[in-house]
Amino acid sequence: MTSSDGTDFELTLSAVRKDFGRGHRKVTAVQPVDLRLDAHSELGVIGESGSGKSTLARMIVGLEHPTSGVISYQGRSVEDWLSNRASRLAYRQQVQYVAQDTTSFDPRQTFFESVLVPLRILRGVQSRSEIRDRLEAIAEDLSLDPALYSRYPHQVSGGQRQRFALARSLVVEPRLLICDEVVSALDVSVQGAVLNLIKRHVARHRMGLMFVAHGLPAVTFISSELLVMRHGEVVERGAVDRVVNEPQHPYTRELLEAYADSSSPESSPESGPEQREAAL
Amino acid sequence: MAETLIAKTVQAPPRRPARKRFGWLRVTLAFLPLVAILVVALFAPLIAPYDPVTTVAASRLPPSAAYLFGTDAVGMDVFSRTIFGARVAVQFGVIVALCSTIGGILIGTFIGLSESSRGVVGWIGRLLNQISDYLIAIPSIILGIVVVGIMGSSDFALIVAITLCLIQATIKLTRAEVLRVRREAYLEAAKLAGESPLRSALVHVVPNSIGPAMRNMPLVFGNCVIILASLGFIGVGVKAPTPEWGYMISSALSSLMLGRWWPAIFPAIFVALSVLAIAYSSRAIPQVWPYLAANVKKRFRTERNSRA
Amino acid sequence: MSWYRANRWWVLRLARLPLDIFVFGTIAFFLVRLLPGDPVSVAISSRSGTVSPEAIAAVRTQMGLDGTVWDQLLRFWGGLFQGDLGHSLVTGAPVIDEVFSRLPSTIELIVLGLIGAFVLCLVLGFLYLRFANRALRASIRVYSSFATTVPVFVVAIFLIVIFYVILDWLPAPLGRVSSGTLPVITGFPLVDELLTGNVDLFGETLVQYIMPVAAMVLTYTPNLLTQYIGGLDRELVQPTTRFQVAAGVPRKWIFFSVFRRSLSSVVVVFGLFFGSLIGGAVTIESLFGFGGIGALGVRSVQSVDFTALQGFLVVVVAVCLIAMLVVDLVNMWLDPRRRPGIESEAS
Ligand SMILES: Nc1ncnc2c1ncn2[C@@H]1O[C@H](COP(=O)(O)OP(=O)(O)OP(=O)(O)O)[C@@H](O)[C@H]1O
Ligand SMILES: [Mg+2]
Repeated sequence: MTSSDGTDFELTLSAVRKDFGRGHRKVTAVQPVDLRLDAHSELGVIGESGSGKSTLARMIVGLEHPTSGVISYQGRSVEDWLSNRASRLAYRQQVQYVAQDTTSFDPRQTFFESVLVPLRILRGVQSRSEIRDRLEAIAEDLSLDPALYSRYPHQVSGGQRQRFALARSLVVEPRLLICDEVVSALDVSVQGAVLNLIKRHVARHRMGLMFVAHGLPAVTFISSELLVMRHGEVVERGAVDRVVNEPQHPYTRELLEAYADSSSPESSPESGPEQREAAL
Repeated sequence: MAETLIAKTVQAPPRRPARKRFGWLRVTLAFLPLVAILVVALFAPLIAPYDPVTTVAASRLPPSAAYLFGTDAVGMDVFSRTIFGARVAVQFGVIVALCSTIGGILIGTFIGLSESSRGVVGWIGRLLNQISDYLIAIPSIILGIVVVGIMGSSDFALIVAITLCLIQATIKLTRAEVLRVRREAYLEAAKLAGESPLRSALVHVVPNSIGPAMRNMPLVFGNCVIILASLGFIGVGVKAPTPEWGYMISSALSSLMLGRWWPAIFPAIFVALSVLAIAYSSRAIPQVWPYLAANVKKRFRTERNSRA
Repeated sequence: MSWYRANRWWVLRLARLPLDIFVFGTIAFFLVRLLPGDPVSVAISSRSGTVSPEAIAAVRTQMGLDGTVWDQLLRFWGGLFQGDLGHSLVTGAPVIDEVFSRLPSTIELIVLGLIGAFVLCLVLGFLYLRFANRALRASIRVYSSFATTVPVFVVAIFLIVIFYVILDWLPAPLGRVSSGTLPVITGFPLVDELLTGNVDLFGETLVQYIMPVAAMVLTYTPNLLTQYIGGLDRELVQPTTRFQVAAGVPRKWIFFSVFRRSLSSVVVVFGLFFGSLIGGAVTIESLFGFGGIGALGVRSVQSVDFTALQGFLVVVVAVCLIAMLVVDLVNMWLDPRRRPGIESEAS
């Protein structure tokens, strides 16, 4: 804990490793990795499909248990945080995870019912009017029409659903937000809009961000620090500018070249999202 | 002829119309048989002219205007008994369908959720799963004989016995559905939102996996009628004078050997008609259900909007 | 080792059978002890005069009900491994003999019913395919939708009313033979009558079998028929069939090939309704006065005959499990995708 600011925190991973399966079918999804996140982090994680990005993110929120190594939050291990109800709820409130899956809403509940649950349980907000105010505020923040709250998941577009997923996490005002490919399933113009919304919200509420993606433009736009993963291993890390301009590892170079070849000037990392924000 | 069939098939494979035309007629026809049985059961005292469990005339009178289906070996009115038989069958059918559906959903959910988990919970789940597998290996009649033997002849014992015979299908259907729902991302989202496993099971897993079990309910109802009649027929069903179809048939066998067919044939016809009707409805209702649901919802919504 | 890999699917499935029977036998053992009433006091109450405690203990020992439940369980397990199910508490006869003196006649009925249902299914399937007559096809469809609805004894009642009471074409349903006793060699009545050269009895039994077997055939054909018609419908539009038609393969051959390919869908259902076949046979035997396996069950429940009932349960369940096993194996043999562990081997 470096400052007296109430929103500050420290999350560290030391030699965290994850294996799936046993025997000859064992897959090492994450090789031992060390990491530190705090309220000022804007960490981007990239890597090809299957490189262990999601597994890393899911271990932090306790959806997977590390095979070895320790993840600790505020000097206390995550396992410990999750071991009893009170501290589990506290941890869930402070560290939120938005999954890459856009089917993360119960098809039988309206968005209103889905989004108010974390507010009730994690924030203990009970009064109806306060719930409504907060839901409306968060919707406005994410440029969502509050009228959509009364809809069911199949009745909105993919981009709207993704923003509701963000709303569900952001409504509890976490200190650390972990986004797992939240824009990958969206088309390019919506991607830009959602990225802007996340960036603005994170900056305004001064929360830490870990942003997982396999697309380079999104990550470079939203984060200041970059982690490149391959086969579960962190092959390169550093400030975004440094990694993009002078990549050290051959794999990173390969990745950058692939983007340089495929991306048109319009969707290049620097110019893309800003332009789209103007259009928004 | 066959050539034309094959030729036709090959030229134009039978294409189902993309959307079948639904109308209220179809909906009515789907529900009619089931509703008819329920109505007979409900209004049995109004329909039946005599008390079903008392002697009202000489024994084995042939059908006449006074005794529509004749009288049986002890002089009870076969028509009244047959009508009240519908009531007995429906009572058992409804209770067993509810018990085995609710019980099957709860057990199936538990098995599905505990599968591949360690510790006591996992063991209990596997045990329940194994027991339900063994249940299907026992013919229902034999299970009925044993359970009624153990618990003594009573309505409660019969309900337990028939539920045990029929619960397995519901458990399996629900378990398969739970295994599917279990992988859904919204369960992880619920966990991250702080919901407890129990709440998440009740709020998300159960509502999203009861579909097949609910659709199976009319079938359970029909099978209950069949098993009840069969147990009654071999003599381990309801107690003696109760107008139960299977028991009526078996006690009419001596009359049948004497050439008096009416005490046996009418309950038999009613068993056949009712199980066929239930089978028909249980097949037709799921077909018209989407239409019905859509229309009811639409009407409900417009009403609400007009009020607002 | 490679032999084991290739044949693991049926070896493992086969190895499960004794285990299942053992587990089920144990369940049955505890189940029958839940029966109300004490078989010892039932046996003693039939004696006259006062009964000394020593006599009671002697009877208890003789019945094999001395010692704790666990002693009895161990003895039961020991017997089970040797194929010995103990002696009936009521008649004193070995349970295995009692069961096997009744089981074959039940199985005979079931087999006759199944063969008849299979043949009728094939015939109707042929008609369904051969004649593109709408009314005919619709009626076959409607009939096939009767699957697992009308209980077999109800159908039998209809047959009795029509053919015995009204038309008087068939004799009264009062047992397999009107007089005399059945010869017993294999336990299958028809086979025994033939083996002993009793042509008269054989004919008589055959006539007595007409109604019960017809009832079973009429009841169980729809179960097979739904599957078969579904298979025919699917196979007709298969690319294979179209290719054959386009290539000018003779009509007969196309028919045969569609027929044969749809047949595998029928096998699946055998296992599914074998239990209801036994149940149906029990009611039929009671209706026609045949006295088979069901009567033994009812009797042993009523007389609190622990050993007879547990033996009866073990054998009935074993028969069902074996039937399911055979169907499973045939299925797996026909369709390798159903073999266990196939996906794990692929990965
Ligand atoms: N539950 C699981 N069981 C077994 N293996 C798993 C499981 N989850 C992930 N894996 C394996 O772990 C590795 C890393 O998976 P992960 O989902 O973390 O990759 P990712 O980088 O997020 O990929 P993507 O970009 O496609 O989302 C993969 O090889 C995957 O097959
Ligand atoms: Mg991923």
